Amino acid sequence: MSAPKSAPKSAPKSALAIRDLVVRYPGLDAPALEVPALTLAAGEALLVSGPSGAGKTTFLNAVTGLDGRGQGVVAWDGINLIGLSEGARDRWRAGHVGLVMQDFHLFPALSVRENVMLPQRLARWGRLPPALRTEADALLVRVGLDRPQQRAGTLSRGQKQRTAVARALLCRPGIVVADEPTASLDPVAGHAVAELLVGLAANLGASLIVASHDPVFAARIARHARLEGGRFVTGEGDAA
Amino acid sequence: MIRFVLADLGTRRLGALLLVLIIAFATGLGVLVTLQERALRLGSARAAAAFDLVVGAPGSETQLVLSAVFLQPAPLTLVPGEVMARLSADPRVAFAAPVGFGDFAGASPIVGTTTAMLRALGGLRAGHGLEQLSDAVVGAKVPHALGDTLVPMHGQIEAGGHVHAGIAYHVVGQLAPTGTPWDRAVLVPIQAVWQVHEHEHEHEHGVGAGAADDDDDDEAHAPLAGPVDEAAARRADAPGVPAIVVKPVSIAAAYSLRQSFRGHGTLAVFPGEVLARLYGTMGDARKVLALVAAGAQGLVGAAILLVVMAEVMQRRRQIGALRAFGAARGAVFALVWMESFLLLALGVVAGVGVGTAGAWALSAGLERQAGIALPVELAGGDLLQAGLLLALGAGAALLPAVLAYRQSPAEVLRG
Ligand SMILES: Nc1ncnc2c1ncn2[C@@H]1O[C@H](COP(=O)(O)OP(=O)(O)OP(=O)(O)O)[C@@H](O)[C@H]1O
Ligand SMILES: [Mg+2]
Repeated sequence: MSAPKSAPKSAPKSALAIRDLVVRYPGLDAPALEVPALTLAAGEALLVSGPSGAGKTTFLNAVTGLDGRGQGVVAWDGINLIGLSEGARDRWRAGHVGLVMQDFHLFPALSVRENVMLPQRLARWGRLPPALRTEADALLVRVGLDRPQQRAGTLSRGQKQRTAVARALLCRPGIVVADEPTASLDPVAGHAVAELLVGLAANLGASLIVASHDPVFAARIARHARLEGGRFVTGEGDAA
Repeated sequence: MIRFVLADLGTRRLGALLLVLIIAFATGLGVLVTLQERALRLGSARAAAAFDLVVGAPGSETQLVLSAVFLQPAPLTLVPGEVMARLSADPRVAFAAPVGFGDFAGASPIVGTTTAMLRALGGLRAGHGLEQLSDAVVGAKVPHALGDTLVPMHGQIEAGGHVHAGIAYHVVGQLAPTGTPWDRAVLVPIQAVWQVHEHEHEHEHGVGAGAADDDDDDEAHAPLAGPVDEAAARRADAPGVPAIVVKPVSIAAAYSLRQSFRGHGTLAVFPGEVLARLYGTMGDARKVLALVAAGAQGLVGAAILLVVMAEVMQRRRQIGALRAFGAARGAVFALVWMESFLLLALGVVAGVGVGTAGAWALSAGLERQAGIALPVELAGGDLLQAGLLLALGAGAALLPAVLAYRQSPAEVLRG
């Protein structure tokens, strides 16, 4: 894989090109997602909204390679995720994608720092480069957490999601993807998380895709695509 | 990775502890059965070691051995004194010692015998042997010291025995510990037993515990006095005894003696052989027990596996999340395998401990009750068996690990 692992100063630029993507679920007549064409320039941010069941999560699963089913082309820098094996998609995602979800998926018994470093620890065998720890602590300071030893179980919800943001950004991904990252937070905490997510992704130069109907993102992300019934009704073309 | 496994187990320590405990008890059950059976076999074999050949009256071979070797009280038919005389004169015999049961001193059986028996049991650790008719030598675990006076009871106290008026023994010696029921016996000259029970000769029965003879025990006996004449026990007109312990001069002599004293009013047995036969039947019972224990282990194993698998299913979003964040598939597999195996290994190790401790406790209890030392010993084969169990567990732990490995990360974004 083309995963540059040795923490580069600037993230690899990743551009997305989707053509003729169709995702069907068994038992559904209509495809859950149908995208004839969609492109995203490297470093560009995209906000995907739409009613519940419109296919937002299905879309994110396709562009992150979490779900390999579907037909067509979902290519980041020429690598088509559809057609890659599960293991290959895992490895590609580990090297390219930072994920933030509605649920925090932190391990309460581990410290904040350990949680942030956990994906890296489990992505490779052997010891982690010592620099990674310094980087994790620096990132935690950036998201406003200055006690890396604190047990994740004792964090507030807003702090938990900010930990999750730090975890997503630790390996300097070229792509940052978030699914409803503010949905389980109160407005103030949601605001802070949205700010961090958009700001840090821009700093990294990473492409950002956020699925959300939280207006805080509409104010911060210029390009806005709306999904309805599995199809984009606006914003699916090239950057305006 | 280890740190993660431990931290994760820490968050669900109650459930994990329960699993470990269940595994421990299932394993412990099997260990207990194995160890206890072995202890019983070793212990009784050791107890019988000093008894090469036992001669008694025709009847149950097992009962003869249980009475002579393990001092289990039972009414045995007596062999006439003439047999003792013949054995003593036989060149194939190194020594022959009578074993005559007479009364109890507290919970200790009083056994009438001769000096040869003291030597056969390993000798004295204090005092001297049976010189006067009123002398008594106590086993290592009899709660009496040199100089104590023992009043024999006809039958055990619990069984409602009563005192022979006018009869008392003086403790003059103490046997070295033997790890056999003889540790709890009080040895007195056989002649003393005969004298105390003179009037019972026509009963043709040895004296057993609680034997409710209606002889008049309140009648005063002539006090025991005077030196012991050991030769008197070897005279043909001496009274009968329930059992005679014989030390042959050689193995060939042992077989030839057994041959000579089988039939014609006597029975000769090798206690070791009788015990071996007993183990044969006991072995079947052990096999059943072992099968039950193995079955329990298997069922517990299956149940545990189910619980662990259910846990993996329940945590599939968490597992999927790890994958979504970039954890390698193999790492997830290894994590789940390690956690499952760790629980299992802890359980098995604890189970060996629980089983061994249980066997110790049981042995100690039995030793207090029966007086036989039951040595709990771990053999190399046990280690192999525990290893086999662990290997089996390592294999079983693959199942939940595979389940986790196959878990798709796609569901993680759907709450
Ligand atoms: N595994 C599946 N099998 C069958 N149908 C599915 C499956 N996953 C999703 N769907 C269906 O596909 C459609 C799109 O689901 P998706 O989760 O992408 O919606 P969404 O836009 O993320 O909704 P929400 O805002 O509620 O999260 C829904 O109708 C859903 O029921
Ligand atoms: Mg969704």
